[in-house]
Amino acid sequence: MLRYLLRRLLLSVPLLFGVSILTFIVVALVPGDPAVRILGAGHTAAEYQAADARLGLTEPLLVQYWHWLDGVLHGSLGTSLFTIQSVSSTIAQRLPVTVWLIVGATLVSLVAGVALGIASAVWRGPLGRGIDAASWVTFAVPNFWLGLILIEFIAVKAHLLPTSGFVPLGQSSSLWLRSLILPVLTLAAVGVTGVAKQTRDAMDEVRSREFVTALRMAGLPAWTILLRHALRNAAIPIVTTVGLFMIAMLGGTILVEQVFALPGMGSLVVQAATDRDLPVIEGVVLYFTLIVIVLNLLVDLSYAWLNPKVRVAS
Amino acid sequence: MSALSPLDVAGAGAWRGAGDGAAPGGPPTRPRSMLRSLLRDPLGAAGLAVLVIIVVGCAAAPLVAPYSPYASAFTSELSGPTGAHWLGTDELGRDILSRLLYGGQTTLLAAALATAIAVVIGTALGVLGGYLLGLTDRVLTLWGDLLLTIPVLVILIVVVSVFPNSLYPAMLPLGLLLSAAPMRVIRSVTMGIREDLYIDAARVSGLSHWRIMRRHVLPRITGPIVVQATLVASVAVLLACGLAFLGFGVQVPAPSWGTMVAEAASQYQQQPWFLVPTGGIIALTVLSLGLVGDALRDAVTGQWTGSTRTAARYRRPPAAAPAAPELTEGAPAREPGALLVVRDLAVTLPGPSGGTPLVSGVSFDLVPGRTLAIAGESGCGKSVTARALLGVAPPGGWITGSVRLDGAELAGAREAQWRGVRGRRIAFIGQEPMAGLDPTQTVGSALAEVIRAYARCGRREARDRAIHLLRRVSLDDPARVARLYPHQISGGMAQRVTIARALAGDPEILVADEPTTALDVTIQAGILALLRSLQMSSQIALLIVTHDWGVVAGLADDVLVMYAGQAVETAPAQDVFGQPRHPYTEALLRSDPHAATPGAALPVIAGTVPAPGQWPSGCRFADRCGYATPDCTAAEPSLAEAAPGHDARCIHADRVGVTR
Repeated sequence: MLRYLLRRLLLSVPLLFGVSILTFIVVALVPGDPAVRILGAGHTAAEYQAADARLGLTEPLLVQYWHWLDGVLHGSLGTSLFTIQSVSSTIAQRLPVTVWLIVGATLVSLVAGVALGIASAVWRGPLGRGIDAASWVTFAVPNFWLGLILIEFIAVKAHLLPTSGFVPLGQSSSLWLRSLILPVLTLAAVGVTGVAKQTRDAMDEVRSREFVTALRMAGLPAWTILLRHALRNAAIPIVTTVGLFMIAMLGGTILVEQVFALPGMGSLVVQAATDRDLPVIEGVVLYFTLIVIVLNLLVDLSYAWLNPKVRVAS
Repeated sequence: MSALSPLDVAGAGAWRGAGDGAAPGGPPTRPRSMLRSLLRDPLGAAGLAVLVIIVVGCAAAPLVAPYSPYASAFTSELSGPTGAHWLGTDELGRDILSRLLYGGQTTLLAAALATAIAVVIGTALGVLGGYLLGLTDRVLTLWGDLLLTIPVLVILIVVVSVFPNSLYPAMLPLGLLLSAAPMRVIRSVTMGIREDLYIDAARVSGLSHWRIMRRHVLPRITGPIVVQATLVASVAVLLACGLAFLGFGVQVPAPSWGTMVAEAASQYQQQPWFLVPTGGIIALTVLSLGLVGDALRDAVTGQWTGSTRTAARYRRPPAAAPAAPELTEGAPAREPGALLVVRDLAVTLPGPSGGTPLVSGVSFDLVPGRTLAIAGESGCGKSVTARALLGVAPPGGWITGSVRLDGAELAGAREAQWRGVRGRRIAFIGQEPMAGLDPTQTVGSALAEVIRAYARCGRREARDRAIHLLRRVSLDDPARVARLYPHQISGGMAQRVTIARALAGDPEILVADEPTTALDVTIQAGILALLRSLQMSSQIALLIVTHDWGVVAGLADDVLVMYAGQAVETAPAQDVFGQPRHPYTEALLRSDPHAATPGAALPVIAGTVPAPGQWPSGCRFADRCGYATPDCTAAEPSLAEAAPGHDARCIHADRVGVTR
């Protein structure tokens, strides 16, 4: 198990390198000159040149990358070309929003999805068909559009929740919660139905196994068998699905943050891409990749926790 | 963890992609037959129809669109649906329908481009990895893992910002990133096909790898490829719209679905309707793609595994629901002191004309301290009978007849009533001990769990009693065994554990379904000796299902021989060995390897047990029987006394067994 985790960790090193180099190259292809955007039009070529030199943009790409990498290894992601703020501190401000969104959407998908999945495994018929239909609809509806619809009906018409914006947890926990509910639901919709479907399928598979019949014949109550045994054995495919949805939802935060005007990593990268702000783009990409690596690691760890064969083999 | 796509926006296919069409290879899938089965599926046909309408409408936008996408009708800005503007107008008074049709061109073309790239790359790498295996496969699998870790939408945003006014350049990286899912599916399908004989033959006959992959593998994976294409396409549509919604890859006045949602978002306070057609067209397109993909997958897997949808659904006839104890009411126990009296037990599966019987008309008694063996070939209904005693029928099936425990009728009992019986009064030991244990639970906690279900006691006490039970089934170092998981113990140990679990409720009756079949010969004797000693020490009534005459001889007081779902002979064990009265029993005894003469060929019974639902009329054994006469097939013989205490279901019972 430990070896497996180490292998996964080692694999993430080339991944981080690959993604950061790729981003560097792609952004270097940007036709516009950042200096023009920073200084505005009407300056002389020499002035733009000087600005470029000050930003380190006149150096060869490889040297630029080396400087960036050197900074990263020393804990600095550089400074934004536009706000002149340190990228690390900008990201530190934005990170909590995105992390709350992911954590919230994952919890909602997991809890509601597993509960619905168990319910539809027990009571088939309309509930099962309803979940099938809902999974089609949530799959097909773009989340940015779903967010707009929720804003229209729940925030604008019913005045139940704020339409947009984010309140930090430290400021007011109730406002913080209210500002997160709609974005989290938007993000989690497809996860809830997807996890529910996977839960039902996995439970069906486990319940056809001999040990479930054996436990039934041993006289254990049906609910004990369902919740303590079938669910435990179905947990691995469920966790795998949740892990995939977490990665999918991470990308989804970009759109959801835009819809709900949340100051997270997603809206940061959209702004940075519009501005061709290379250090910020690099920093955000690095963080997104790191988050994916952490999420995958958590999924791997939960496999070990859930499956004694993996755990005991270590 | 099978095929899963790296989707950012929708998380689509995360579950749908799993194993999509990853069935083992079959005959080449012909596009025409796939289309036909797609059209037979109502949802798939509807999806295809909608998709065709949308694609044709967008492609022919200059012809069918009522207005130019840029023409403003200044008199009617942000109108709802009207006769002149079917889907209303936007904030500049432009016709929404026309803009959707023109806007679909870029969206759909971009998605098609990404899909083509993803499917071509995914298929090529998937076939390569699945066919060549080895290092190539390992490197490609690693590559797929890496692709799945990259945050797709972030990369796309970066790329799109390089080429600000077009979506198309971003479709190359998108296609590359989305290729991981089809790659995994195609790889596993190719691996299945590779194992096929005729590919081996092609390899031996000297065809190059390239030729085999192109000529023999590719034609057979068109099905999964098309299914994957619909999945990737739906994700690509969502991502392309997402990018446009964020304002990337489109020039402002030009229409695009994602941009129009963004425009609608900025106007929703004035005209919420604007949101409906703009988001609706995206959802409709993705939904149609999904429905088509789902129907195609059914068609593809149906082709290979026999149609998954043709199995007619039979329902249990309502008349059969209550047991019919009137028939057997007061049926006397033949054995004095019988604890369990079974009369006319039948187990039926759903099927035509009232169901397909698996077992019918089985009657016997279980007496404390005595052992009844149910013997017969595989497929005779022995295990079904044994499980029916605990109220468990195969999925969909039902139990009728009478099962009386101490006079109380169990047939037709509710699940809650059964709970007081199962484990506490009648316990069960299964055929495959390992399969009978929850793999995620230690032996000790499995035992403690049933102990606590049977009697109120604390965790500590349950643990001590679990260890005591393990000692009772003669396991060495029970405290250590209690901490082990099923995968850490041997089959023989696992069977002792299931016996310990069966003893936990201190049952009066023990039902053992071929308890030694799955075990090594050396272990079998130990398990049988254990069962014998347990029975002697606690006066349990034991029912043992077996096809091994050695087990019968070693353990049984009485024997019930089953054939094709019926009891064909019941008698005390020594009588059956002395003079069997049914030709089937006689034939079974002859084919027993224990009794065989060394060097001589083992006699076998010609033919096979007929499957349930295909039982012949008259005597079910007649066509395999050496004694058979025309009378045998005329009417079904009944179980009649052939000698005192010895019943046989044969009209020639007098002639049977005399030569022994």
